[in-house]
Amino acid sequence: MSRTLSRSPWMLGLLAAGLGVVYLARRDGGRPGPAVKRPNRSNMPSLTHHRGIEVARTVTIARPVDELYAFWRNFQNLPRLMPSLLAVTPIAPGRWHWVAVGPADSKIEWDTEVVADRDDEVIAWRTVGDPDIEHGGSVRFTPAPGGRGTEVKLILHLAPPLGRLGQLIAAAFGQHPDREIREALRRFKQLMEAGEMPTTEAQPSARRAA
Amino acid sequence: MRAVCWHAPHDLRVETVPDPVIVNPRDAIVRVTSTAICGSDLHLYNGYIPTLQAGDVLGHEFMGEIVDVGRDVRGLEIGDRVVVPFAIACGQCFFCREQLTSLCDNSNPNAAMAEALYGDRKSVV
Repeated sequence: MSRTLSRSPWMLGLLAAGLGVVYLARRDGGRPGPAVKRPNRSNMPSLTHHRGIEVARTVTIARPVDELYAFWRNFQNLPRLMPSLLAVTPIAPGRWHWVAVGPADSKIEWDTEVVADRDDEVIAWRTVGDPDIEHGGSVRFTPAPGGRGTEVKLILHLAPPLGRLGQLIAAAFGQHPDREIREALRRFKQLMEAGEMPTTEAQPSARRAA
Repeated sequence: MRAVCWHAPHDLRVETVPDPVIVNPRDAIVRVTSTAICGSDLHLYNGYIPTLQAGDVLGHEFMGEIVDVGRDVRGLEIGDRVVVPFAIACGQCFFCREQLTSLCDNSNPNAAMAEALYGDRKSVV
């Protein structure tokens, strides 16, 4: 009896996860969707002809707006939030050079310009020149109600994930960019609130080398 | 250090594993003097936790002595005797500040899996 009881929650959890995977597979189908219907937002970079995909996520961080804005304004900090980025370096005021992991250990690179920057409110950027990955992004900071800190909304516009370009996007932003930006925001919250990102990677074990 | 390691359902072995190291600035290393077997260890023992890997160390309710601390640790010193609860917490998020540490936002290193189980379809890993 107790054995059955103790087992059933896990089975339910696994079943739920399995259903979730099936649902995702049906919904996404691994194909690029049609152009996303986009609400009218000012200061949001858009790709040519509004093609491509948009992913957006929001998280509430229990830190003041100015602190979060200051962290993000220095794009050199971004590899701490997105491990696929190797480095982001300044090349001119408002211009940054990005280097990311590409397919098969190659490197992919692009330059961006900041297209909107309002203190403690919003930072937006888009690629310029002939980038390996054409994209635009923005991060918006809004004071959260009830003294809970700041709501941080991150939006990425990516060119359609087709062909070689799709492989590059997948390498830099993952097969599922939506999950990548969710994880980036999670790391941002952990770093700004707790000062560190929890990990089990260095925990001792008797695991055999993979 | 010596550790109880899981290798397969009903197959536990006491083995020597590498000593732990400080990774994050608020880590501490505790030399365990006493530990317990918890009811949830039985889920591991019986093989019902899908993320468990052969060689993983068991034990999550223990007491002991602090032997090393990270550079940002406050309130703990080498030599202190401590009891460690299984529910870890960051101490800095909204919930921790409300003393609701079991709801901590930041201490799960694989939170996407938990979010998927709780119904966020976008987080399925």
